[in-house]
Amino acid sequence: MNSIVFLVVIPLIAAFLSLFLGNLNKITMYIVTLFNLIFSISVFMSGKIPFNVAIGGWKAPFGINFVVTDITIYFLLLVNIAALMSITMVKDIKEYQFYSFYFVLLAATNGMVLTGDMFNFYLFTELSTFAIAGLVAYKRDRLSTGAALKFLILSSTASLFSLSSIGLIYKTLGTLNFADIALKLTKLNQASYNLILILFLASMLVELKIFPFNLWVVKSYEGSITSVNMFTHGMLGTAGIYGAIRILLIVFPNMYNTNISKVLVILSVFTVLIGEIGALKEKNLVKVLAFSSMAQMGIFMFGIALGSFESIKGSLYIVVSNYLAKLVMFIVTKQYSRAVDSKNYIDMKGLGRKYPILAISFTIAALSLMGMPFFAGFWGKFSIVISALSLDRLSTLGIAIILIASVIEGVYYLRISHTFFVEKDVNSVNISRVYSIIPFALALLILVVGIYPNSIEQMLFNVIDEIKNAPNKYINIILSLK
Amino acid sequence: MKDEKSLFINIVALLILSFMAFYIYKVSIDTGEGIKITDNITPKMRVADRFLKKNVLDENSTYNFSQTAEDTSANIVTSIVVDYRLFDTTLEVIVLFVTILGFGFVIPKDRRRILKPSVILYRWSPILMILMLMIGGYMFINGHLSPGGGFPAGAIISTAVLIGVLAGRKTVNHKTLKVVEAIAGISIFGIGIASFIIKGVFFQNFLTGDKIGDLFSGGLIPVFYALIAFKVAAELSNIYFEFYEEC
Amino acid sequence: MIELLLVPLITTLSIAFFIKYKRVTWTLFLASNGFILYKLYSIYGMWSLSYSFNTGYEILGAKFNLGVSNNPIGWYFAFFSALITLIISIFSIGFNKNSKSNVSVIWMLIIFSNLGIFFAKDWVTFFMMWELMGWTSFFAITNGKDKALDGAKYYLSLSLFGAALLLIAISLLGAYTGTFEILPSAFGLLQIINSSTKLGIVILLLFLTTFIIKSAIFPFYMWPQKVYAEGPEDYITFMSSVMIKYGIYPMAIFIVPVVGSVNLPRILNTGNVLQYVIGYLGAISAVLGTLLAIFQTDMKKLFAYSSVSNMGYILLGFSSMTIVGFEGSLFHVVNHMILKAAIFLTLAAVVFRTGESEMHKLGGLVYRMPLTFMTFLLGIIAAAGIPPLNGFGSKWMIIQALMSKKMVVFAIAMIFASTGAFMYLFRALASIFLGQLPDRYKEVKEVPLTMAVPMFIMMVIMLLVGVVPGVVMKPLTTALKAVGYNVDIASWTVLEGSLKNATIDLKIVFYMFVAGVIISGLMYFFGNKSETVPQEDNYTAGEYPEEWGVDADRFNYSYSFYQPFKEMFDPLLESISIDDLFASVGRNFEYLSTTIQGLFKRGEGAVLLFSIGVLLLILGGLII
Repeated sequence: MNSIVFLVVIPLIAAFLSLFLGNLNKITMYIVTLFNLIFSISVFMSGKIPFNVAIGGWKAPFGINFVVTDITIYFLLLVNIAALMSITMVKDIKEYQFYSFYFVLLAATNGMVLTGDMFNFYLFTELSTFAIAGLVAYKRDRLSTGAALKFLILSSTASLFSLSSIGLIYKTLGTLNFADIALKLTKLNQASYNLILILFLASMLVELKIFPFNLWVVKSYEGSITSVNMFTHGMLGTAGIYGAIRILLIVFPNMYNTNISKVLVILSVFTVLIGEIGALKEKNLVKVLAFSSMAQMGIFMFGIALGSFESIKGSLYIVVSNYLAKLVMFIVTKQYSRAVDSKNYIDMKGLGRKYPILAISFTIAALSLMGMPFFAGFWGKFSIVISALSLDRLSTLGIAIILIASVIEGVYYLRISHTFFVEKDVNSVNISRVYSIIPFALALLILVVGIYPNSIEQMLFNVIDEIKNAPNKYINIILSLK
Repeated sequence: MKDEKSLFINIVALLILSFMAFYIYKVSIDTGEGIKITDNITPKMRVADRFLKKNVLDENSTYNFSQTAEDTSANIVTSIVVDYRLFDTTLEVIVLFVTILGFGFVIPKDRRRILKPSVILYRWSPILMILMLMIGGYMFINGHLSPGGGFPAGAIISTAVLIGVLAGRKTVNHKTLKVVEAIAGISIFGIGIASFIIKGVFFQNFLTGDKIGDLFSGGLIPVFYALIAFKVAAELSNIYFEFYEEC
Repeated sequence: MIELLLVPLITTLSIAFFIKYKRVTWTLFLASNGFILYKLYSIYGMWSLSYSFNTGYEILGAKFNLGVSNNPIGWYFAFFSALITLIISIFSIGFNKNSKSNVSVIWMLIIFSNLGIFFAKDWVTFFMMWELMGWTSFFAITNGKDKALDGAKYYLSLSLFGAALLLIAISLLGAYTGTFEILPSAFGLLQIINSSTKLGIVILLLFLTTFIIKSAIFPFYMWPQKVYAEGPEDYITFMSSVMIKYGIYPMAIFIVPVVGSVNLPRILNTGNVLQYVIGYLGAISAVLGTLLAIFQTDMKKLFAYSSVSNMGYILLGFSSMTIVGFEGSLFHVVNHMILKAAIFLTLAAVVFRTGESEMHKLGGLVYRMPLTFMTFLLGIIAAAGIPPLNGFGSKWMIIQALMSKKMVVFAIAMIFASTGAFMYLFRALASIFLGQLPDRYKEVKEVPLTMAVPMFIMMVIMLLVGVVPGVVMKPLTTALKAVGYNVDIASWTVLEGSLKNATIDLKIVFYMFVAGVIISGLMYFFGNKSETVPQEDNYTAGEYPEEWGVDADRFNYSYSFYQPFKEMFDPLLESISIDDLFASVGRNFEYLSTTIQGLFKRGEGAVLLFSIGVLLLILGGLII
């Protein structure tokens, strides 16, 4: 399966070509994205997983390698599906830069998921953040430029940290391969281990939107167009989550023996609180979604920081629910805000009565984010609650705060849904009903997962099995140890 | 008020930084294997050490397809940058590409006035440019033998363009640069795909069997260096044009 | 068993499909409710029926099944809920003829969750249905109207808060006992309380808090008046009669058995601490609900507080922990369901015809809406607990139980609340239906047939249950026996008290009542006739208040009717103003929200915050 590298190479070639293609760019965008999606589906179906691909022919710890395991392929699919969903929202964009950025982003997010090398991961992260910054700045007004610059500053600070972490790893362990690092990291003394972990964690948390690191989130969501929001959420966000799972859980599993995981618990609880409370009085729907995605990442991180089997499973459910729900919400927001020419949800009164499918999809997504039963998010919440309560006192307190904070989430989301359904005549508004198809399909998916979690339970089980029960499996695949 | 606030923030930042420095110091004096400020790590079979000894091929490895690929580039740094980690290098080039693309997006457009170039600069610029081009060309051609390589070579070549811009001479077209950039970029991946077709592995150095120290040695390394040099040169020159065209 | 849950779901979907055709939706709604009632009737006695659904979701090391089973007490609640719902849904057909929004979709979903709660076999199923009820109620209350949003938001926050507590409680229980099934977990909880008392009590109180939130017991008694004032009236009828009992059901099957058999310190040798906690919650709600109801001017708010006080009676019955008290409470659940449904149907009818719910602006409607008046009259007689209508028996049993346990404080509270109930109930009767008819309501007509029939049925039921309590007590005692309580099957008309020789035969009471009616009828026909005078003559002394720039309605005798009484109790009521507390919590959150928005808007010091975050991580790394 050496051809897996095409997932990165083809979009990059398209990025160079996009300088000349002009009007053809849009078609190329669809072709390349579809190629990536179909290719990853075919890898998924091929039954050859897991496998390891060496680039340049150099054996794993020496050269760069791409690794495909169960986790990888699921996240690969998530990233590419999100890409396809997002580009359907792209309309009337002439600037070739937009398309170049998109192609680079596509390549980088695929690469982030595929790579098995620390420095390579760092480079892909850099690429994706630069591309997102460029995309955020697309509108070229004061707001979006400022947002892009702020994102750049924070992500550059983050990359400074992760680069020093990688430097320290290379200095002390002399290797860059994930598996090799995981194997050798245990030999380091505690202080060095902590320093490396802290530096790397600080850079990861920027992308994971955890509180003191996340001041870019709201502004960049507000300043960018919907498709870019969906890129940020569906592609960069998903790839970042993958990075967190892969690196924190497989490379640094000893984190749970230090108090750093406790700090992570506290930070994620704060993130949830700040996200939920911040959204409470917000009128701009996009900013509400930004705050809410912050809160969701807080819950996700809480589950990861607890580190037990069940809490990680809960986190994965949260990922699935948040992934689907936010895509739905961005699409609905886009359609409604374009119809009334305002992002303030108060102006969207009555649209739900004329276009109920969009509003119902939004409501289903919101309920899933709130962790309501019969929707995907519930199982995540339930798992995390159970595992948190059977752990120590800090996590008990944390989950109590998170649950109370999710009350606030319920209030603001259902208030928005209610606003959609208020009795008001909106005859002048016109939205093509074609746009209801994708959100409705995604909302149905949320329902299916919520009612019958068995539909994804096996996949999640594979993922956690790989993380918790057989971390050595991953190492063996890469280093081809027996 | 604002000054006081920024002073306060600076003091806090300073405190945090000094705390971090203290922490790093504390980490460095911790016992056991780990981060040390002054370290004399006894050579072990670390990956890095094996790179230095040019002995990464494992006898039992199935990757033992080329006997000479390991030896062909004389320069250790080059063989790491353009062979073992060619993919990373390519990505770095793309980071540059993205940065320059974003440049036009993020930098606000406003008009600037530039002075007319002096006569001396105008007259001497061709000589300077030729010198720069020669040095740049030498660097990437000999990248696999001596220190240097595609990145610095590209930067030097782009200074030739910069001088042209400063002297007000028409050298290359903005459009041409883009074509060069794209062709160089696509070619890098094209060679990667070619290697996939020939050897079944991406970015493998499939031209083998030459002698160390020759100009034409190191397989694909000089080719990649040339492409990288062109690409970097075109990209950096693009920045100058980006500014120049705004004037 | 499963079709009982599938039918409401399928109906929901089909109603959603036909949402534009109002008549179709409400007919479907009615048909579905009829089917549910029939199905419930047919599964009476088959207590072994169950259904489980394998989700494949793994928790606590085992694949997890969602299960429903035919629980006798659940059947008792579900059957009478379904009966009342069916009657209300007949009413709804006529009531919703002109309404713009259609509440039936979401209402059907609530009925689904209703059945799910009553038949849940395990706590997770229970919780899922419980949460479903929370948000669906939000949409049903607002029903596309902005003015109902505040109340609905209040209700939603409370019910989400309760659900959060419930989730914690369930998870703790599951984590410590290893099972989620309701009945085994009750024994598990008992063991937890015996081994580590603190944890057990916390779990129990978490459960209790959740349930009393839904039942509007003391600290959470504010939501009914906020919600009932603005929601769609027919749905509010359902809410006030049926939904408010959702909290009582889990208390009956879980809290009461645990508290009854737990070994904890006892107070005055009458009952244990937890018993007293429940009792005081009930007593405070009963008294407070009554007092607050007395001072309301809006009729829907008045009966909202009356519900609070009735829920208090039910808790008082539970707190006695005797079989008579337990039976009395469960009997009162159904009695209150019936009489509240009757009263709210009449209120809905009044609002339907007049569009007004402030009592002092109404009056004299007895001449225009006689059937509504009769229903209301019987309803309030029942609510006041006067035989021969249905409120009497259950209250009598509860007081008997309290007295036999020597819980005198609670008995006094109950008697105080029942007496106070006369004050507000008859005032409502007088203000709405008696007195003089304002000119603007001269043209008001009696409600149409579809709305009159359910009211008539309610009258019949109230009288039937009042005279022949066996129609409710027989299924109740059968159910209790099936669960394992040591009870005798009740007879048709005789109620057994718990004091010595305390039995009461309601048949005889009814005969006495009939005799009383005949005597007063004779007095009415042979006494002096009353005389009708114009409205203004009566209470503005011939002046026209409009000339003074004042609204005539303010001079209605029912405006500030109990002013002196109110002044007496005002200091007490102000001192326990829970509403202010909640409001200030809300305000603080909003203030915080603005602050956080500012932080993210300006985004100053992003890197500084970044370094502070790193600092925290370092501190975590240092403290080992």
